[in-house]
Amino acid sequence: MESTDLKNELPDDAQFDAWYRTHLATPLLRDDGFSGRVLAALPTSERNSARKRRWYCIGGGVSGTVIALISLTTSGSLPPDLPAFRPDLADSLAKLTTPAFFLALSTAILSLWVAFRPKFRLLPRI
Amino acid sequence: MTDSELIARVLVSDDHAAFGELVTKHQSAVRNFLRHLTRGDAALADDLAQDTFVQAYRGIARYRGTASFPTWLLGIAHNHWRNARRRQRTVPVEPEHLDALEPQPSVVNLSDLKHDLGQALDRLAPDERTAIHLCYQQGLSHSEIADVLQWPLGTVKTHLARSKEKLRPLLAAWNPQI
Repeated sequence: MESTDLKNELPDDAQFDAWYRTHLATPLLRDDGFSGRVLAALPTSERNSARKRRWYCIGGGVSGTVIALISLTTSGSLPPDLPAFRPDLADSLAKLTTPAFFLALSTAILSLWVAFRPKFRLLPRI
Repeated sequence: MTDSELIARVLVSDDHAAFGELVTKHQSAVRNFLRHLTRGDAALADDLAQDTFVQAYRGIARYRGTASFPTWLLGIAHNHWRNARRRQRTVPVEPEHLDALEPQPSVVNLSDLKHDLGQALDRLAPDERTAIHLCYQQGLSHSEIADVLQWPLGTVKTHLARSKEKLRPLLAAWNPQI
């Protein structure tokens, strides 16, 4: 009984399907720049990000070192005779408060932040 | 180049151009599906489609190849739409956009047929409409529809059968043989 019903339904279903496929066929949507927008929104590849992070890290470290050396040289506090150099804790701490040191430290910290924070919002395309 | 070859290039060399080809090939299906789900809101559909492709790019390593790539994309699109609907509670229905969903019939009296088809589809439950869309407008098989919507196969068949039963009398005037 059930199989007879199924057989009776088959031609109807086939006609219905054919009619529907003809009249409900979805027209193809033109791209209209959609693919370009998607590609622009793709995240930077992990490989590129890692390479860039490494360069930011190296760049930041070098910049920080250069700024620190310049500040020490120009302030005249670089010891002329290193073996005879005896660090004075008070002097060392006082030097930490100089603007140049802060600049160096800030640069180093910022570079590390940029390097290891992939979704740094100020630099979305790095 | 086939989808598999393009996917391999994306996986191996992170080839954006290859992914671009995949987007170009499948954008129409994904955007049409999302326009159907958002009831013709083209702007929202395109935003969701963009999110779909970005998500697909991020997760392409998890594509196992058990379903076809477009089926996998439609599944992601469906999830994005569900999440968006959950966030917004209601997705706006803009009747003037419904024309974009309608087919382009090749027979006489196109606007009347379009109108009747639209009205007939509106009588269906949302799930039934989606099943009909995926089956007849996207040309997916029953098992592919089950993959996209994460329904049991039996549920897909039931929805389609029920939809056909509802549509048959509504559209009988256009073709008494159906």
